[in-house]
Amino acid sequence: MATKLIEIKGLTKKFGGLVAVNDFSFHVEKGEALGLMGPNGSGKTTVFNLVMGDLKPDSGEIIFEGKDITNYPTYQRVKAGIARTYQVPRPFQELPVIEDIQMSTIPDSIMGSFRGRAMPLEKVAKIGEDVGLKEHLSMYPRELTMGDLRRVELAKALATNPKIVLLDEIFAGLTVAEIGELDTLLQQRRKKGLNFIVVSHDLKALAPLVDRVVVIHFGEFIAEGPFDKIVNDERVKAAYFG
Amino acid sequence: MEQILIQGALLSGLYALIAMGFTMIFGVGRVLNLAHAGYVMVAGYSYFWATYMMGLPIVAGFAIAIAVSTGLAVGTYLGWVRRFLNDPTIVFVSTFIFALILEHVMTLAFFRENINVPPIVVGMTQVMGCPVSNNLVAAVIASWACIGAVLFFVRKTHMGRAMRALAMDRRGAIISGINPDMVNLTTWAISGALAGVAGVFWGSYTFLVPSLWVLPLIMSFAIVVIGGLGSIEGTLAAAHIVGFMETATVLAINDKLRSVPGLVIMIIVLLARPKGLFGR
Amino acid sequence: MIRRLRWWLIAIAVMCVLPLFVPLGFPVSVIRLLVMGSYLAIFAMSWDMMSGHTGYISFGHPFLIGLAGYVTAFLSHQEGFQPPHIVLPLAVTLPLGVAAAVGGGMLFFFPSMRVRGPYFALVSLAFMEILHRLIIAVRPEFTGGDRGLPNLPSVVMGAIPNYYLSLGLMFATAIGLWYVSRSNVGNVLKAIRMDEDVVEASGISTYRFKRFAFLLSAVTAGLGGVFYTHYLASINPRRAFSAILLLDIIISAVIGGMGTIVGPMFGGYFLTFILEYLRPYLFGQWRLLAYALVAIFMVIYKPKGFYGIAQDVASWFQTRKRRSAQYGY
Repeated sequence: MATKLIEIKGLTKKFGGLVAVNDFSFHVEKGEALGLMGPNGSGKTTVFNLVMGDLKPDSGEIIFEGKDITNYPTYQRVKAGIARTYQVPRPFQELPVIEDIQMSTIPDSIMGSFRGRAMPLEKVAKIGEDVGLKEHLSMYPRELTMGDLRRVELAKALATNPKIVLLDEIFAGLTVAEIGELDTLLQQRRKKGLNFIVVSHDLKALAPLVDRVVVIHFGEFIAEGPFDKIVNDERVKAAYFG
Repeated sequence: MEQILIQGALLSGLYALIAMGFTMIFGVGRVLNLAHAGYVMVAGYSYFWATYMMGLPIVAGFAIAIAVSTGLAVGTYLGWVRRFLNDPTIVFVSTFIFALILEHVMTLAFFRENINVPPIVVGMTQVMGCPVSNNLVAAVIASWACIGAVLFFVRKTHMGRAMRALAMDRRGAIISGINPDMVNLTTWAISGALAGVAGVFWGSYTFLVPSLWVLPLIMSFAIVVIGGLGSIEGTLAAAHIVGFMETATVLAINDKLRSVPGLVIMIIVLLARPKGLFGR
Repeated sequence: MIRRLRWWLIAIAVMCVLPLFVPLGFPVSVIRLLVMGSYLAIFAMSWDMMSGHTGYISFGHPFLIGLAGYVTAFLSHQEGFQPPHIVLPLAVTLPLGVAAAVGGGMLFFFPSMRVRGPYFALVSLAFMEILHRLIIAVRPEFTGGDRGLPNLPSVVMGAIPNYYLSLGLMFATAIGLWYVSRSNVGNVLKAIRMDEDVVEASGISTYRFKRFAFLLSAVTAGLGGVFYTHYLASINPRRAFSAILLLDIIISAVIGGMGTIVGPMFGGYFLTFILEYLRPYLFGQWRLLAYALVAIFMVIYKPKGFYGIAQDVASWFQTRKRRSAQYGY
């Protein structure tokens, strides 16, 4: 029990008549990186939204470090140590990259913000440089490529000092070289004890990064196991190729 | 008691007409058109102008009133709202100012005095053993006919389905070949026409005054919140709750407190069930 | 600190010196206009703190101002009531008026914050309507009903003392709110306008910050409201709860530049003077119509306002300077 960082039990979410996620359960061990796989529209992003609190589940529990956070608002989950990136990057259009990242470090208290307890810009710049945004720190989102916007997303998530990051399609639309860089970066972070849940279509990018894969299809749990075993699983093949 | 039922039915019908237009625009375009109740006021004046100042027949007066309010709605959309659909704040503030502009124009044209519009249909009928003016009956029937037509349109026609699709999932609807601009334009036109019908009857129900738009705007918003923003059925039900409450207050307590009960219900609904009574 | 405040100090000095020129022929009417401008500037900045920064448009500022005004007017009113009531000194009624604005503001803040989106504006508009109705319908012999309460006591007498009073309030509000706007609190509020979900996802309770912004907004609106009411020496529901006052406030903020505090301050003065100087050329309703037409064009075509224009000009000069340094022309 103590080895589980986050545990999702029987999560269900309906949109009107459509069951987006149905009785879905999985967990992430401490120090583990988990892949969440599934074809288009299988409910991966909905699971992320439920874990982050952007959506309220109809039933089910989310337990993080032994605490039931099912009814926590989003910002408390972030403060507890969960962060995410968005599939479609959502930068603040009117802020340069470095200030955008700094936003994630402003303390959640009025007095604290007045005293300027946000992370100093040098440290913020370090986070930006780590994800490969050294030349882009003073640029505005409209000047950035999709790959760089994804990096900004990642930097913002890392700046909240999380224990686990939910990466939503972080590799989509990137070049092979960019995927390689990002993979290396995430591997480094993992060694420092950061956990991930990664959603990706790109199985090649996923393979070296994750210890274990959970497969979701039509909102339901299909299979789980090590990456190599999963891709050869008959049920998974059926889900992907019909 | 009979008075409350009959007048309440009329007021509810008019409220439903106005609030439905309001909620349809929000459902499809995700913006609120605060000038909407301004169209109601202008339509009332147009009808008065056509029939009593120009001496045109009633049918022509109706046609002109509906044409004017539809034209205003379409003009608002094509004029600037279309370019700001992704910035609700600008739409919000600009349509509010537009309503004020309409008020000023009508004041310049017709002055600030109350204008009593003679009844559209004359005579009295006995309903449940109580005399009712035919005008009231005609208004109730007309508003229900319009509501029925809109429900039919939204449920059964191709364009109606496109509207519902846009309201549910904007991106999905666009991918499946719906032209959002065309659907938005149709929605604005329909809501303008509904405002026109409501305006004609509103004038003969009470009286016309250039500031007529403020109260209908506030009340139709209360209705939309109670019913659930974007839900047509919810709007219908809520219009009747608010309409009857208001009529009862006016007839039994104090005319000056007419808007208060509806607004109090709105606040209670926001606290207890923010999605609205019928919201998903 | 002094360096950052130097423009404020210059502005305060200039404005304080102005009345000294009155004996030399500086028109007192301009002083009176500046008083009106100061109050409109306070209201516009108050609106900007909440709505300009976070994007939650408030239609409830006439409600806050009117409520504060009515509370102090009602308690300090000296003329014969039936039955007679206790007349309180201004030192007591002014704070009570501000407290009423804050309390009343919370009444519409909490329900409307249950839902995101345009609810806030319309619920606040509904409160303006409810208060208006209650004042004219419930016990009009106390509240003055439609006629309102005339002959209120003044805080200070005469144009110039009132000028200094309004100026003091204005600068206190302006510097206070300007400081908040430039701090991280202001940054969070502006980020809420851009994308509230993302602010929430960076571990910040957007509700906490919105509540703070609204509190500041209500306090400043209440402060302005009580002193404005006693300056005018009367209050009535038609003027206090009109769409016209609401429009004045919003337009001042919009033409000045939303989310900048300094912009709405200028907007308040600008609007007061332009409306006054247009008076001889356009009569009554025509003036209001022209004004509304200009307002709608401002909203549609230049939502960044004067502040944005000034910034554009400044950055144009800066690029020129930099270029000339680089290429030597």
